[in-house]
Amino acid sequence: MPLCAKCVRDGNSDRASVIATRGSEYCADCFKVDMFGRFTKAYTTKESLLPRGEPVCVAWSGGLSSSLLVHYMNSFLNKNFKQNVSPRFSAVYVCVVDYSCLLSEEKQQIVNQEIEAMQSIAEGYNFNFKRIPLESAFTNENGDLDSTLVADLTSPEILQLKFESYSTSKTSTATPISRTLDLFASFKSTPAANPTTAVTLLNTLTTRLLRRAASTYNCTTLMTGSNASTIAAQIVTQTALGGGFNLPNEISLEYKVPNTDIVTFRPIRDLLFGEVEKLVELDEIAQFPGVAGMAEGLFGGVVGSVGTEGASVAKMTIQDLAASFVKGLQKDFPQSVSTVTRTAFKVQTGANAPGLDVCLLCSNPIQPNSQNWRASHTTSRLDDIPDIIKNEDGTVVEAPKKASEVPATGAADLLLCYACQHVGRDVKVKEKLVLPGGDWFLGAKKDCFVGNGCCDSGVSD
Amino acid sequence: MKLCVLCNTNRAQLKRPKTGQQICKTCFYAVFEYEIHCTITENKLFKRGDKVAIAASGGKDSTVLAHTMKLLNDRYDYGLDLCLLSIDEGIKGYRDDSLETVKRNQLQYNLPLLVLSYEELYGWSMDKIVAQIGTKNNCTFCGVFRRQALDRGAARLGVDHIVTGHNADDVAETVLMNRKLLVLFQKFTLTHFPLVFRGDFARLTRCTSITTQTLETSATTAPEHLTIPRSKPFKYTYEKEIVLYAYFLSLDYFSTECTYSVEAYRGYARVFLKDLEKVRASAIMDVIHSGEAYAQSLDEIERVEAENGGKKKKKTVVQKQGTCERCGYISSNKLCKACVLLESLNKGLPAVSLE
Repeated sequence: MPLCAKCVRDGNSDRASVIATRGSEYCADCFKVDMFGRFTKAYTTKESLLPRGEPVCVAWSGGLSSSLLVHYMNSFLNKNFKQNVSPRFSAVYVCVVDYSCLLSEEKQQIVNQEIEAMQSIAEGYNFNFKRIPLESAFTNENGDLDSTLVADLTSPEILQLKFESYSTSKTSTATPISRTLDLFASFKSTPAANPTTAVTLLNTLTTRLLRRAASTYNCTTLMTGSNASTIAAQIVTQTALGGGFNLPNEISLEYKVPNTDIVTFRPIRDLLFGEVEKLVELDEIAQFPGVAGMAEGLFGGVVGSVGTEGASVAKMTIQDLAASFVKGLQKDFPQSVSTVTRTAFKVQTGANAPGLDVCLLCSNPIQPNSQNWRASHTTSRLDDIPDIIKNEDGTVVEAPKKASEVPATGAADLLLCYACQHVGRDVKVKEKLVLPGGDWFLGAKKDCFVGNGCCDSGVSD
Repeated sequence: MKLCVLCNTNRAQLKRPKTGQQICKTCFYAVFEYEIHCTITENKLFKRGDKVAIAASGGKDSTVLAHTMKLLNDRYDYGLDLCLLSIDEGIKGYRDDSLETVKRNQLQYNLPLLVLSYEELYGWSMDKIVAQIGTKNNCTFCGVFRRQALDRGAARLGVDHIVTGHNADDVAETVLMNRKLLVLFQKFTLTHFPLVFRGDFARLTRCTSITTQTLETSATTAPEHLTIPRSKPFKYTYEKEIVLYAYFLSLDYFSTECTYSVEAYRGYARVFLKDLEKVRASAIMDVIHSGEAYAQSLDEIERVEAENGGKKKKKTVVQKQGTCERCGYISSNKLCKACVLLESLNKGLPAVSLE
């Protein structure tokens, strides 16, 4: 049996190794100390954006990584207490986004039980626990129906959005849940569904709700449990979705969310999934597979590993494919994930430059001149092909292009980043499309829909 | 009968891979050709009077490239002087047959053709190389020799520009591999192992650029034949559409895989990309879009360095440009890569690695 390299080197003992990682063997104690050291080291970077002594919001998905993060936060603050130093954070808000409204009753029961268990763990640590229902994306701070964005059906081809104010909503029979269901139903058609877009949208709403919660509880830091493996999958996913421009913000240790005071912080981004798994096992951290797997198979996609018999790749999501790919990568070349992430951490695309417009949906910066990129490389109408005119001297010129039918205002493509443009494009049932339209969601983009803002696309107030 | 969504007149005969639209053949030709025309003109690939060599292998991409270049040159009056340039690697049962296709293309399109062989340039054919070193690393030799052979051929023809049949799928694969993701699946082949660990943004820029000049040639003003830019007019053209175009027009192309490419390194990348394409047809374009954003990384780093008054200068060593002392090809070392490989072959040391 291999021995712990550090213990042997220190001449302290001959303890057996429990894990081989990063080219070395570790016993349980040395491994835990080393990994926790990596977590605390994340707080000591130069020019850190993290404020000290303010409340922090911790996103808990129920998965292994975020469960470890909550556990580490407790250890970290206890350490502060024992060392008699002022706590790094004044309060901890643990937030769970609950997708119950999309689940069957049976699954809802499991999720309810697990969320209650999560609450008791968080409260046992003296953390505040907040359950955020997905449908709250459609409510205001009082829990009432909020304003929305819906498709303007007068534009048959281009997805154009219009604002429906809160006052209109009040007379509606809709509920937050019915709106959430309608939103996801708008991407389904018989027999095809578009699971990749639905998953993207679900992730986007989750992120926006977590940022909203952070803001509500005056948290200036939003902590997520992304580990190296999930970040590697994120790199593949973002690349495949066309979101390369925003990749640095999606994977960096710290990211200042545009137009907010919130810094997204990923303190365990260097830990490999295998390491997280081992830590969870060693520290006997409770697991919540029901909550962690809430989104699995939700949108009609056949979830399975690539190459699995019977699994149809065409029905999988890009997110599934990327995760499956990274899993295989890790299995065959354990060190490769670190290499991939280290390389990606060097990428600078200019996405953190000040003054960039932000996406209506994901609120991430929009790459300049990217909104028409797709259209500029794809001809999807014959009218876009100008006639050829032969001059008397034999030279050839192209006739001016016919006027484009693409509306200049309110068009989703103009409001969304390149990756989110898929959402606008993949809507199958426009009548059902309904997006959150509250101030918290639209921010300055509200001007695009009301008043004399940039997109002035008509108000049905 | 389902009508074409573009003209609403003819029967729809295909589902366009790039957009998912059901269209007729006539409309497909129109949009396919117009997109390539847009790629050429918007990127200002050529200027009137340029002599352009079309790298022709006889395969589907280069055959469709020759066809469309000839067609668009006539239709839009680019004023280009086109010719075909083929490299004969010396692979019996593969290249000899595909060269016959190129020769037929020469007659069909009425374009001059130059064929240069490895045997003539280096004294070694790929068959001989494989006989000596086996099939494991032969792509290394072939890639280096072909790149140089194209430059030499272009110089002999006196062209201003070379166009190659690299399509959107090829570019997307290269982006993914340069992201150090898929190349890890290549069982660490000799050729591409270094890419994994280099963090080579310069190479990323080059692979996503529509026009490239090789590193060796970009910094020199000396030999006249070594400053020839290469372009990819099919950068935004899907491979599936190229195949459909060739099929519908019954173009004469050779479709057999290279005899020695059984373990071709692009295999895994291609499988992953095809899976992505099955999930979302636009994934290929989306990967290219991401790749172009990553390529800006280099510009961004340089901009920051410039703003900082050069304080954060990169530690990269500026390579001194010169020429290979043996063959005269531009090289930053005493010997160019091809000569290093040739030396290893001639000494019977084929396992030598590049960089």
